[in-house]
Amino acid sequence: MTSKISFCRLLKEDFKRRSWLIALVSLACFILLPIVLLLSIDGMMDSVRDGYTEFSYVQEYYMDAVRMGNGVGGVLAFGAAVLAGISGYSYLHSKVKVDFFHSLPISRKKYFFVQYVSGVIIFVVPFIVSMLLCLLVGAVNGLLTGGVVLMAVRMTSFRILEYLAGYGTAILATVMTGKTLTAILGTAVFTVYIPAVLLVWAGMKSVFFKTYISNTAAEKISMLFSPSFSGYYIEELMKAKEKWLVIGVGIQIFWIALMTGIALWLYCVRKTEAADHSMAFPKSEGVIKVLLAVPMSLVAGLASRMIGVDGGMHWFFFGTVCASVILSSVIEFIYHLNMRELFKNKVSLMLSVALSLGAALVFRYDIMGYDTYLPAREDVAQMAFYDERLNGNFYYRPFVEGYDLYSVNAALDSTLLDNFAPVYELARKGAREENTGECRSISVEYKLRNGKRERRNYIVAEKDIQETIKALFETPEFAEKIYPVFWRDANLEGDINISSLFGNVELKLSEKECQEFLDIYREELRHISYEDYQNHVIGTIGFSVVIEEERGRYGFSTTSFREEGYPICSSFQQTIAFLREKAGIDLEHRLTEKDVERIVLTDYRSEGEGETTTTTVNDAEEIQNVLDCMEYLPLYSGWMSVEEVNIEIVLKSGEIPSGNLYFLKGKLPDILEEQ
Amino acid sequence: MIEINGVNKSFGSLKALDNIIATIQEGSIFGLVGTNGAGKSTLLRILCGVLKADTGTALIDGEDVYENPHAKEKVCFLSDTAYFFPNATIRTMQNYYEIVYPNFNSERFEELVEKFGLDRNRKINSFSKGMKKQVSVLLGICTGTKYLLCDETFDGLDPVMRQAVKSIFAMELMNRQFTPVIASHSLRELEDICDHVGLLYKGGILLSKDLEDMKFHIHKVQCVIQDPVKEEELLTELHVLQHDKRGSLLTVVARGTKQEILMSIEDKHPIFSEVLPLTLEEIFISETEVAGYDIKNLIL
Repeated sequence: MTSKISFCRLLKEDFKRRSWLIALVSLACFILLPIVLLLSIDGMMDSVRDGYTEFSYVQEYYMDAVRMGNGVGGVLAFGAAVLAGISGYSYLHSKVKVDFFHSLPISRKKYFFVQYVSGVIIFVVPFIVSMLLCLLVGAVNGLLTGGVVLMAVRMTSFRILEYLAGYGTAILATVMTGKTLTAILGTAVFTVYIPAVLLVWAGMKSVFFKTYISNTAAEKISMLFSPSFSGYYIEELMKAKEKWLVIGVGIQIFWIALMTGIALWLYCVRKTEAADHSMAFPKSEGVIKVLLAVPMSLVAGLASRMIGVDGGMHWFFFGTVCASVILSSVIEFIYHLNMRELFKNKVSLMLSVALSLGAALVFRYDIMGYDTYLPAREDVAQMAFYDERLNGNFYYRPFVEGYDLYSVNAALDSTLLDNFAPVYELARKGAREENTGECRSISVEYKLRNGKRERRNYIVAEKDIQETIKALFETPEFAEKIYPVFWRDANLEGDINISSLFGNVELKLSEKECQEFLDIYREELRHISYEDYQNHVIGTIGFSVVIEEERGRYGFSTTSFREEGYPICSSFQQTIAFLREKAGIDLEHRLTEKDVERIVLTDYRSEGEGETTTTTVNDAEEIQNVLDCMEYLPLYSGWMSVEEVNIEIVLKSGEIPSGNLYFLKGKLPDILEEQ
Repeated sequence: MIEINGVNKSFGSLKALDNIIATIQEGSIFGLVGTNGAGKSTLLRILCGVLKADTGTALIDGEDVYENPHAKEKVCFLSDTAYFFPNATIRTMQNYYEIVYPNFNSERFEELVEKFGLDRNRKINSFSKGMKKQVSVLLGICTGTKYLLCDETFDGLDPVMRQAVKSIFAMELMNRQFTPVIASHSLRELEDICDHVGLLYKGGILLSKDLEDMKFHIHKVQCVIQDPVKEEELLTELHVLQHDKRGSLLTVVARGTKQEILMSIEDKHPIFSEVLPLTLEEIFISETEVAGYDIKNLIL
C-alpha cells in the first residue's frame, strides 16, 4: 500500500510549492554565470579585434571564470544551499504545518529524502545548465579547448559538493531549531564556529604568549573546519597541487556525510512538539550556550583590554566576566524570548563564567607553560633556526599551501637541521633565562621524535645569536638548508643579478651558462664559513624566480619573486673567475682614488646634540685614506659596531655605487678624526 | 478498532495525558469531549501519529501508529487549524491528497465541492474560516480512510453546513467502513451524531461509554418529599451526582436506570416526582463536577 505514494510525485509537488526558489536560483545562476561572462567576453573580444587587448588575456579571463576559485560561484552555491535547506525543512517550525505533514501516511525518513532530493535538484540543474551556457559562450568566441572543458567539469562537480556541504549544514540547523530566525543563526554558527574558535585561540596566544609565532597557514587551514566554507579554501589549494583534489573531495564528502547524517538522525528523533520553540532539543541549550559564550567572552575581554585607558589586565578579566554573563543572557533570550528567563539556567550561566574566567587565567598567567616550553633534548629529532637578518630575504618552498612564501613558518619548516645542538642551547636560553643587554628576536622550530612540531619566538642576546650562527656554519648541512638555491628547481634562466660596491649588473647568460654558474656557486657556497659571511662578502647575488604550475588542469598559478642577499665571498674564487670571464664583473677590484671623484661623509655621531656634519672629500690622498678605512658590508645586519657615518662615493664615471659602506668602530679616516 | 493502552504524554512539566485507556470500536461515531486543556487534541495527535506517546501504545487495527505509514493510511487527521499550501486552490489540495492517500475519491470530492458551492479554482487563503473548514472536512472524508480524526471540526461551520456534514458522515458510515472520532466542546452537536462518548478531564479519561447507555444510566429527577428524613434517606440511597433544593422542590441527578431511581423515590412517598431529560451537556457537567471541576466556581 505505502509504495503507492510515489517519491517522484511528492518531489514534483515540492517543486510546485518551492517554485519561487527554483526561479530565484535559476535567475541567479543564469545572470551571474553565463550572462555576466558573455557581456565581459563580448567587450574583451571587441577590444581584441581593435588591437588593444591580447587574445591570451581573454583566454585567461575565460579560464578564471570556469575553473576553481571563482568566488561568485561559491557565494551562489552557499546562498542557494542556505535557502534550500531552511525552506525545505522550515515546516518543522510551524505547529500547523507539522500537524499536517506528520499526520500523512509517509514515513519521516521518506519525507526527509523527498525534501533533500528536491533541494539538490533545485540547485544542480540550473547550475549545470548555466555552466553549459558558459561553455557555449567560450565555444562561440573560440576560447573553448579540451582543457577548459575539463576544468569546467571539475569545477562544476566540486561546486556541487560545496553546495551539498552547505545544504547539509542549513538542514541540520533547521532541524535543531524551532524558529526560522534561530535556524539562520544556527547555520551561521555551524559555518564559522570552529574556524572562529581557532582564530580566537590563535589571537589569545598572540596577545599573551611572548614566544608565539603567528601561523597564517594554520589560520587558513582552520577554514577546513567549516562545513560550508572548506570547499572554497580547498579550491585555492587545488590551484597548486593535484593531491588536493583527492583530499578536497574527501573533506567535502566528510562534511556532507557528517552534517546530513546528523540532520537525518535528529530529524527522525525530533519531537513534533518542538515546533515554535527556539531550540528543538532542550538538552542542547546549555551546551550550545557555553560553547558560544566562552570564546565570545574572551574576544570581548581582549577588546575591553584594548579600550581600557591603561590597557591593564583587570580590564581584560572584567570584560571577560561581564561579557560571559551578558552573552549567556542574550542567548537565553534567543531561546525563550522572555526577559524573565534571562537567568533561567543558572548552571550553564555559571559554567560559562567559570570556563571563560578559567581560560582567561590560563592564558594570562601561562599556566600551561607555553612560553617556557622546552622539550627534553632526547625527544627532539630536528630543529630549525630562523634569523631575519640571516635568511629573511629568502623564500622557502616553491609554493607552500597556505603559507606566505616569505614567512617564518615556511622558513622553519624548510630548514630543519639534524645537528641542532647550538640551536637547542640558544632556545634553552630564550625559554628559561632572563636575557639582558642587546637582545633581539629569533625563531626556532622543534620537530619531536613523535612527529609533533612546535615553533617559538625567543628574545635572546645578540652575542648568543652570533655564537649560534657561528657554530651552525661549521656544520655542512646548514648552508644547504638556509640557502634555497641548493634545492630549488626553478627557472632561473637569464635573470641573475650581481650587486657589488660598483652597483647592480644583470647577467645575460644562456641556459647552459646559467646552470654552470649555479653549479659553481653552489659548490663554493656549501663551504661558506662564519668568518666569510661576516667579514669577506664582496658581492651578492639576486635571483628572480618564476614558479609556474601546470596549465590546463585546474588552472595554473604563477608565482614570481626575487631573492636577494646570496653572498659572494672573497674565497669563492671560481665564482669570481666565472663572473670576470663571462660577465666582465671584477668583484676583486678595489676602489682607489683614481676611480673616485669625491666622497661625501655625513657624520651623525653628534645627532643627539642636534649636530649633523657633512664633509666632502676631494683630495686624492684623503680619498684614499677614506677608502682604506672603509668596509663594504652588503650583508651587514648589526653584528659588529660601526660608526654612525654615512658614506657616499661618486666615481669619476659619474656612477654612485651602492651603499653598505661602513667605518668600523674606531677606524675612522683622518679627516673625521680631526673633527 | 483503535486501542489506547496506558498512554501518557507530557510536555515538559505539564502532564497532558495520564494513563489513557480506551477503545474506539469500528463503525461508530466517537465523540471526544473534555474541558479546556483536558488533552483531546493531544490524544488525537497521538492517534494519527503526529505525536509520540511517552509511554503506552496507540494501536490502529492492532498496529502501532507512530512512524507506521501502513497504519497511518487508515487515519486522516483534521486539525482544528487546517493547513493549506500557500496560494493553493481546492484543486491543488485535491491533487496533493490524491498522491498521499491512494484511496482518495476524486469524483466524490468534486461532487461534494460542487454541492457545497465552493469554487475549485479560487485560492483557499481568500476563503472565510468556515469555508476553509468545509474544504478540510471534504478533503478528509474523501480520503477514504477508515478513521477520520476531527479536532473541533464543527466549530466555524454554520448550522446548515453542520447538518450537511453530519449527513455526509452518516452516509459514509452506511456505505463503507468509516469511524469518525470527533473532538469538540459543542456537546449539543455531538449529542446528535455520536454513538459513543469519551470524556477527558485533566489528561485522564473520566468515562468512555455508549451515549445511549450513558443516558440510560444517568437521570435527572425532580420531586417533592415532605418528610426531610426520607429526603435524606433518598439522597443516601441513590448514587447522587448532583442535587439541588429550591424551596421544597428537590432536583437530583443520579446514576442508575430510570426504573431504579423512580422506585427509590416512590418508596419515599413523594408528593410529586418527574424524570426530566438530561442533555449530554448536563451529564458532562455532572460528571466533571464530581471530578472537582465545578462550573459554578468559574462564574464570577
